[in-house]
Amino acid sequence: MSETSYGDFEMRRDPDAILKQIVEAEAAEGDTRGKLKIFFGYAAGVGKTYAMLEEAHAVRDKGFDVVVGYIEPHTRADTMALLDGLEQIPPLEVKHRGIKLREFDLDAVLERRPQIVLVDEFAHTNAPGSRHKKRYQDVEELLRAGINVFTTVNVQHLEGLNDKIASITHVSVGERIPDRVFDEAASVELVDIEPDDLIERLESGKIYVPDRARTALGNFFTQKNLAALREIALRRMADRLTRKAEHAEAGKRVGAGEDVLVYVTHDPGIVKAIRTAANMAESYHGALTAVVVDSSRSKRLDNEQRGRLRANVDLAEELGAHVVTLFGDDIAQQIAQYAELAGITHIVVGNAMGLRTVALGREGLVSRLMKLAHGAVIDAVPIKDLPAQYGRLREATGFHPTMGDVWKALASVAFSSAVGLAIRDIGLSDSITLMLYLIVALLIATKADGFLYAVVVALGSTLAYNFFFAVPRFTFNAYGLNYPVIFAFLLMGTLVTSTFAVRMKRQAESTARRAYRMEVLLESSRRLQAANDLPSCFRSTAEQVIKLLNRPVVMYRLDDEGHLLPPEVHDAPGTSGGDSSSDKLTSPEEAGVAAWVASNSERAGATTDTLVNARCLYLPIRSKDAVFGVAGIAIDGNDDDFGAFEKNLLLMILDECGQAAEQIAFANERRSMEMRVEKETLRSNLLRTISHDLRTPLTSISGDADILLHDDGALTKEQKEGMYRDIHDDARWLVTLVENLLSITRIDNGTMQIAQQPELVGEVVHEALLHVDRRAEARRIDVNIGDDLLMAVMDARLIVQVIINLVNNAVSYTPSEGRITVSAREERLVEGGARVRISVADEGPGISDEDREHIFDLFYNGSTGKPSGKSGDFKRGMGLGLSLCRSIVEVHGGKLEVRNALPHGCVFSFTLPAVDANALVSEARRQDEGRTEEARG
Amino acid sequence: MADGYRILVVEDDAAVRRLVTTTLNVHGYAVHEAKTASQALLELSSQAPDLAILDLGLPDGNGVDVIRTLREWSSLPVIVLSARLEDADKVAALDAGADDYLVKPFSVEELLARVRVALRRLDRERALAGGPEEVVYENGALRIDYSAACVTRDGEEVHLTPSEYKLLCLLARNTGKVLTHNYLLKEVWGSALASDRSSLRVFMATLRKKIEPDPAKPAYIQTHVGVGYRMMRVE
Repeated sequence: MSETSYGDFEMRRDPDAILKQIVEAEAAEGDTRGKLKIFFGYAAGVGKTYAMLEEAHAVRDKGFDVVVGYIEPHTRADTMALLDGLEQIPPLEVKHRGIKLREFDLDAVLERRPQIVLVDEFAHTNAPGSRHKKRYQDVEELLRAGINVFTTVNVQHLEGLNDKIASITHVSVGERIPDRVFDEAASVELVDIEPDDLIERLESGKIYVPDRARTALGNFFTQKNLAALREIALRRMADRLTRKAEHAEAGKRVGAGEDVLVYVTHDPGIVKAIRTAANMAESYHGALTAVVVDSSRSKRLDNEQRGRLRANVDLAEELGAHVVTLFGDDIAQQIAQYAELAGITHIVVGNAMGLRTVALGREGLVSRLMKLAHGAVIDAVPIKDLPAQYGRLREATGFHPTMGDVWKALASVAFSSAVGLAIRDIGLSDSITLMLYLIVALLIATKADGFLYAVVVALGSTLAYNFFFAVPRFTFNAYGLNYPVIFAFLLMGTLVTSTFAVRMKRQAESTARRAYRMEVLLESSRRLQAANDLPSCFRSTAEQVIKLLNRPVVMYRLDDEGHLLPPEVHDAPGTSGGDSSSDKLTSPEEAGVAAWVASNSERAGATTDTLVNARCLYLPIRSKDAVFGVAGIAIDGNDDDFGAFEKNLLLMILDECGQAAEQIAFANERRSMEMRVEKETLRSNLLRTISHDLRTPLTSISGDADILLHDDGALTKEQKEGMYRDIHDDARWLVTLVENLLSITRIDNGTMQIAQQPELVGEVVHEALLHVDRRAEARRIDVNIGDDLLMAVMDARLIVQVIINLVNNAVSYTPSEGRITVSAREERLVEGGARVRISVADEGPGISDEDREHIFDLFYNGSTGKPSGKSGDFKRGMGLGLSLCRSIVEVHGGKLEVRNALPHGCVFSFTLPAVDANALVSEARRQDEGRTEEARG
Repeated sequence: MADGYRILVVEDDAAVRRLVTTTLNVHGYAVHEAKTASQALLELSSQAPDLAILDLGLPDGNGVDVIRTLREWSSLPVIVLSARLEDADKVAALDAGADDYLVKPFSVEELLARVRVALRRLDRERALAGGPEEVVYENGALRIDYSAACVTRDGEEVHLTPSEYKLLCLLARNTGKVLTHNYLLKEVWGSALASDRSSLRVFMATLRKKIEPDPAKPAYIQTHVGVGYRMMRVE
């Protein structure tokens, strides 16, 4: 006991300090990520693969475990010869549309766990159905798993340089890697060769080129192109070094520089603007923000457009942008306001070459921005994609013809005309009719969706007025100078009023939508703060996500070792949520995707680049350092996707959930730490008190023994016997104390880990009575257990100790002629189930109210310090015993109670969960009879 | 009363060893001593004592291993002394073949009582050894006729279910020996699932109701909470 307490002294420090220490230690350990080495070239054939293999041999000779994960099979012969002596992981054969494709076998390498793996062609796009869309994602997974990777890539595959190189070579490259991956690589080796030599190599056939592409490549491999590419590659290498230095310095590249904002639309041409903005941010050393504006028009985007928008946003993210969604119909104003608030000085937009301006006589986005964004530099990147531009034009004006709008417009005109005719009949002026057209158009505009309504209603009203009211009536002719002016005003008036009405309506819609979402977000926040354990935190998150997206959500939680717990499927309200659908959502394949997400802390599944065949989109729920779970959002088919805004909000909710989970985890850790400290304090108090209490009996034992040892025959027989008895009694008392202390350690060693089993209460009570104080022999102890088969769930050893202590306590306080009753009975609970109440009643003096408050405190010996009344022949109380009893009973989920009995005495009682022994008996009987039958048969 | 039984006391603590040997000497038993596991095995094989009292925590090894080794050649009764409170240790020792256990601190009377029980079992076993297999078991008022599978108490037949009968026979054949829950479960039902323990308790309760004069204070079947059961010899 003393050893543990001294040994654990260190524990009695501030729990925060300990926690911090642990976190730091973990962080120091955490750097297990593999390192990436890139062999970088400016064109095919410079010898990257060759250099990589040579390096592989070199490190293998140094004793590293190197394997070849994947090498393009068609490289030239002397390169292939270098493969000799290197272990190769056989490629995966994937069949796609009848064509056999050879793919890098990621899982085989993860299984093999080499120190270094060679993976050729970093920018490769994987066959459909692979885990990741791109090979660089495979490589990232290898790095996360702590495996070092050698790979090769050419300069034109870098995302950020794509446009630049395409403009030089006129060849657009589809396989690209984010610059981030390139910059974060541990080392990049430039494999350089003179362009002339390269051309020579090509001509002598040393570079493998498929026949059909030979001419095209011939055009590509010109001295001019190669020189330019080489220059770009060299400059990129230099850039990388400066970028790397900055990274190391600042940790993150945010802060000092000038920030750049890019407006992202679904326009395919906008990628150019995004890349430009990323390059600008890089060179200004600023942060890049990609802005998506969610307006009332956004919901009209078709699936293809949505897909493009998503791709553009993904690209921006790849390039390191922080994506922000803004809401409102006035795009320029939204962007300008955001830029001003965020202190962004450079705004990059794609410019539609003024077509819209020409067509509609309206201001372009660029010029609007120029006016609104004070102090910012506006960069307009020309967009050449013409067909998309017409789409943009249509979309921008809201010129989406719907039949509903036409009918509404016609109804408006017809109604106005009819009322107008009636007014005319009662002899009111025509000018009232004109007002009528305006007002009806305005009123119905609030029900219309698009500007088509405005156009139709304006034209219709003008024509109808001309036909019905302008002289000569019922013709489309009109006489008089007034009419052209009236027509013009009517046309303009209806057009303007209805346009405004439609726009107002949209704004109201957009505001409502925004308000709703803000509400969802606020509610999530509030509910997550209220959640005080992980399950409720996850449940609230799932409910909020369903509220937002109205689709089923699958939540996986991680246990302490980072394994997925069984998922919880939350169905959207209103959907049947049949078992079959939730089975599909939680199939082992789906769980596998979730597990991947959990271990890699990256999103995966439908609509992502990784494991796209999953039914759900899986997002990690994480804080900065830890993953707490995975949320799966059901996606129907690959075209189904929710808007950028919803996605943004979803991420915010999950982020919030991750933070809440972290808070909870911290709180838990803190609590357990505090508990340990508290326990430690308790233990040392206990030890102090015990050692004090031990002295008394030990003094008596050693003193008596001393006298007896040195007895020269002076002691009488009675005196000797008295001393023997004292020694014996004190020793017994010490034994009880030790038993109790051992019981305390049993509970302390793991508060909840006591071994609970169904036990027969009768057996337990009987066992306890065998061990009670010998002085009990003088008292009568009645046992009253109604049912022989009464069973309760308990740790028998501990409950035996409780009963011993309670009976000993009763013995101490009961006069020798008194009676002690131990009884047990079953209590039916109102809420179902049953429990067993065990009580020990004595006929002592009872307990004063003051004592009752403290009776369970450690070493409390009664208010006078000594038991009162006739039981004064006992010098020590049972303070430790009762306090222990209470702890034991509480660990069993019960409560130890004490009340006074009439006419005197007190009753200690506690409850344990009951077991239905009768059911067990009948079950056992049934089995038995079965056996009998068998035996007879 | 001790009839010259020879008892081996294996205990590394001098004070406890002295206490045990003195007690046994005073009561007429011949005592050998051993302090370590290896010494114990040597004594056991060379001296062939009638009973061993064995401490579980020995300086050069675990007492449980000593029992396992001993059981390879001998079935002499073993009483385990243990300072540990953990039931698991006791159960391990009993499962390895020990007859009984005593938790320190124990009283002298308790020690002597356990020794008597163990030696009585030895006597009985020796008496039966070589002879025909026991066909009738008698213990106090209890009588089991194995051939007829019939149990009587005070001459009156007791009706037992097959499992109760199996359980009773098992306890009877090992009278004086503590049988662990696991052992009983395995022998009677062929399984040792923890979930079956409650049925074992139920059967024990029903069995007691049928054979014990006062089931609340059992005379025949003793309960060892957390460990198992033992049939006692009733005079």
